[in-house]
Amino acid sequence: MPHYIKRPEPGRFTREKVIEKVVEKEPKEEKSESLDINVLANAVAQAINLNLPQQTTHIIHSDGTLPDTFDDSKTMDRLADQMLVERGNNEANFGNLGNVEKTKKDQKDVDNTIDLLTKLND
Amino acid sequence: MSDDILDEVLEDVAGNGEAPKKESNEEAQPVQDSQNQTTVKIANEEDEAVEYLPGCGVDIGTSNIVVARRTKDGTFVNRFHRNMLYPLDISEEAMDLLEKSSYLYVKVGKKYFVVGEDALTLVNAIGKGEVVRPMQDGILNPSLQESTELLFYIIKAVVGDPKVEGESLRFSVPADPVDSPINNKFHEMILQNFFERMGYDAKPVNEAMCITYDCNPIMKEDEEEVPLSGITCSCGGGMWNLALAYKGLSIVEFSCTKSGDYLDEQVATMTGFKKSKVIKVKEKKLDLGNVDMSDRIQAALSVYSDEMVERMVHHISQQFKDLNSELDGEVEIVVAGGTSMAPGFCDRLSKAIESSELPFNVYRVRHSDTPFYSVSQGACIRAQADYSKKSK
Repeated sequence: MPHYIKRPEPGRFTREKVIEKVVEKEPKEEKSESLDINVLANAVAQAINLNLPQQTTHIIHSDGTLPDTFDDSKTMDRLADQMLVERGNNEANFGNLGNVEKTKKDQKDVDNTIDLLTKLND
Repeated sequence: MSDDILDEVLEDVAGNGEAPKKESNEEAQPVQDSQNQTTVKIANEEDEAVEYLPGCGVDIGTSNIVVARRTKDGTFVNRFHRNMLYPLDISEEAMDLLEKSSYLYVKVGKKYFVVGEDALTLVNAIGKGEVVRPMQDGILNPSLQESTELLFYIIKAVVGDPKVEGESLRFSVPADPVDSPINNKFHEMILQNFFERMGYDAKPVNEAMCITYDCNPIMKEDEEEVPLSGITCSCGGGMWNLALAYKGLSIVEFSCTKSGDYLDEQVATMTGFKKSKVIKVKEKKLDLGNVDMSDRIQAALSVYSDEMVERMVHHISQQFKDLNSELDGEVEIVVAGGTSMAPGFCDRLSKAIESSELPFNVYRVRHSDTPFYSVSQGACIRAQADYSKKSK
């Protein structure tokens, strides 16, 4: 049997090719609003006993930063010390200042308070 | 300042004003008495020999600096200075004024600063300009460039040298305020470094807690009286400070910047009078138990005093609610400080407390016997406890 290839007659059985538009879909990121990535990172680090670098810890995909735990008390101390440097030639026409007034309190009461305070820490 | 005004002031002050009395301290040596108590003999003009117990208390307030020392017989010797300045640009007229008057001044950079009570006298005499303060809201004034240098000149002249080597000193510091982001840590460090440089063994102490040490509030708990327990409030110029103490330990501390200076500023703005005039009326005329309503300044001061008292009660209520503090006993409230000295101030506070719902019972509001000196005296008591501890 000869092999016929059926061809549609012109004008018949024409089909329009449907072209579907490609819709760009953003990949879904599952994010819980209640989840704080910083807290999670710290908890994980703590659980696995990881010593995170303390000053510049970046957490990827997070707006949050870890608090700066750098101890700035030395800077404050140096700055406070600098404040005490006398700049220029300052002068005053007094050696001591102020008026004096004396008051009297029950000495026993004051001594009792001092005794109690001696036992306290700062 | 114009030349005319300066000439007028020069005429006023020429020949007036006495030079301030100056104490001459001799070299002091600590001695042990029969009760094994260390005392230091100091000779001055007023007394032939004063025996001081080591330990010095300093109240560094926005309005006043007060230094307290205690003598062997239990007397507190308080030296006070008004923490105020009047700036004068360097000129021939200004130099003339300072030479012919007995005004006390410091020259820092390109300015003269008339210090203390003289600053207020001068500004009222000139009628122009305003007094400035090296401190603001309880800490160093950031808007006054020369504030640290000026303050140290003044403190050094009021406090003087240590009476014994490494003498204990406590200086008052405010708690962090509830109404401002001010952090007083830096202020505290500067003062500590300064006193240590002067040779003191210095530590800070909370301003309101000083009143606890000086006035000994009592809490009534199960028919027992607990000493050094209760609420103390220091109403100063820049701030009011409040603390709750239990057996001498501080439980809660906070402060608010709307105190005496705020009152002055508001009244000056609302009435159109100068701040120095408002201060004068507040200190000389105001009686909150009997306000002269025909005087605009007094009437406004009365209104703002009510606001201050109501704000205090509001914050006490708020802070204790937030902290869930539970006080079983009945509490005594002790008030001190310059702003509390207007007659009738404590009665207004008492009434405001009665009409409010605080989370604890108050059995009494007491005004300190020595409201102006309570902070310095309390700091002195704490410093003497430090010295006693150190010597053991």
